[in-house]
Amino acid sequence: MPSVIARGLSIDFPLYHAESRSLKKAMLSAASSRLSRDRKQRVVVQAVRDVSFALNAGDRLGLVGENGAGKTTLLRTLAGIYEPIAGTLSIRGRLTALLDMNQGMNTDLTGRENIRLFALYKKLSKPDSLRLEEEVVQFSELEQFIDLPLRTYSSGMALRLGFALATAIRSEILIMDEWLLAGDAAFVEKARNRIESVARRADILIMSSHSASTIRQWSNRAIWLNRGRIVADGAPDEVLRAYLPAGEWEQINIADTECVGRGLTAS
Amino acid sequence: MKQSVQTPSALAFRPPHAPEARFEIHAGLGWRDQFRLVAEDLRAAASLWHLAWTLSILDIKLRYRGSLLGPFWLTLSTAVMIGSIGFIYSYLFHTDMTTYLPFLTFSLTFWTFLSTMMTDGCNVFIQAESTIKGMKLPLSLYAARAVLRNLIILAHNIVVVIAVFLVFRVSITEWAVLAIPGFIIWLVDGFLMGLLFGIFCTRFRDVPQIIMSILQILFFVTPIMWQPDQIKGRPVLSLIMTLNPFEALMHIVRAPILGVPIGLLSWADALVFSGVLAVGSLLLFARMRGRIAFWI
Repeated sequence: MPSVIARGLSIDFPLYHAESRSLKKAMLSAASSRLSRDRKQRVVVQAVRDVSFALNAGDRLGLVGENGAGKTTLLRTLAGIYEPIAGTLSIRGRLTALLDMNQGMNTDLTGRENIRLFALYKKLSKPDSLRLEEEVVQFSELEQFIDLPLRTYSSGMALRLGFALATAIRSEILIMDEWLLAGDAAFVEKARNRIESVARRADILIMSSHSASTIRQWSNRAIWLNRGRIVADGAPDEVLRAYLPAGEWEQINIADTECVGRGLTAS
Repeated sequence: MKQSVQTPSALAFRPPHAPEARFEIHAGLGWRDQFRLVAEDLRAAASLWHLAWTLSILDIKLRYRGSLLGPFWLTLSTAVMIGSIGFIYSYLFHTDMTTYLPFLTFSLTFWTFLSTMMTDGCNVFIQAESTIKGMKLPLSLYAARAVLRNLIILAHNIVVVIAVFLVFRVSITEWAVLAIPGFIIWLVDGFLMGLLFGIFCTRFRDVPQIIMSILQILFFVTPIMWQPDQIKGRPVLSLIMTLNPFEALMHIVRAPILGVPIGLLSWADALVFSGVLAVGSLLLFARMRGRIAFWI
């Protein structure tokens, strides 16, 4: 069974500016004792502090928080890209992360070449790779553009390709950043169907979003991050009620009730 | 709104084996565990050799996409350079072309290969920024990609070497096979330098300039434009040449091809240099592997 267990995760994000990027400056400051104190005091953002949670099959976690609360850093850590400075992370299950739109894609290569690279990355056999290509082209509706370089794509097209690619291969843990919401309405609908079928297979979904209704529709658990720390952890409605300003929560609650009526809610 | 039909088979698409089905990350590991992770990284990169190869081919294709000759521009520019240097030297210095030009062609082509592996080494991680930040891939894969890319470039340039050797009727003896182990050392060193310089250049953005100027000096103190016997009887120059590990590296590949005996000293020099390089870059990689994603 897939699981994600984080215990006391902390991540410091060093901020490098032109000065600290220079080897000459670093060597000079090492040579002079007065400057070396300055060097130790480099700017570090405490991006994530002491975050612990456990997810099992069927859990769909939504991360909420202001800009810079550490959501993306936490997602990158869960995807195995950033190494934490403290804590333990244990992932069981095949993991796919959709962190930014062009992730891992070379914008100078064509859509098809990028799909082939992805197939190699996933170590697919030749027939599987062709199947992936066909599947992704069909789902992303990019038949006419697939042999053009990615940099000629509109952001919506690139997003469709990225989403189709990341979800075409069945993974047990899916990590998504909020950019997904940038698609056009028809595609968001299609994407949601696919995500729901991922979720129905009792897999784990971890997503971050600014949109309260997205969190309510797609997740069954929410964590509110503020300055890298967990402020609230629980059912999406409870967390959102605490996170959102009072008036806003009421509005969303009313708007979403209509969606529930149309049967669009995932949970 | 478009009706979307989701076929279940599409999502049941399962790769035969799961490379990243399970992983654990612990903060604050000791050296022993760090080296275990380095070994894992190298193993994972080796299992993705097909990806590394495709990436390097695409690098070349992209560089020459839309140009008439494609990567054969490389061959042409090498040929033009060798031709003009050969012309100038034969007229200005009245050098004997039959031995000098094959020597120069070989040295210059292979020096270009070696030095580009170093300058490219600086960019291995910076170039792959979006991939490194987007998915978990072994980082040593990017160093391997730079080596493979330069190997493809060398394969294009070697046409010029073969042409010059044919024109000047350079006879290649069976001793030439001794160049193979030397060349393997080059590839290993190129990979290690990719890790070493890649880490340094990602953290300190002024290192590429430093490496460029060091390469300029190395180009002149290594016998590439001049032949080793030209400095016979000059103790200072000979000492510099003996201490220069790149002279040894150059020698162990060039000598067997040109039919010159290799001294054991050259081999020892090259092996010691590679050993020090291996220890240095693997230590640095073990220590800094987890930081690279933060630096780019």
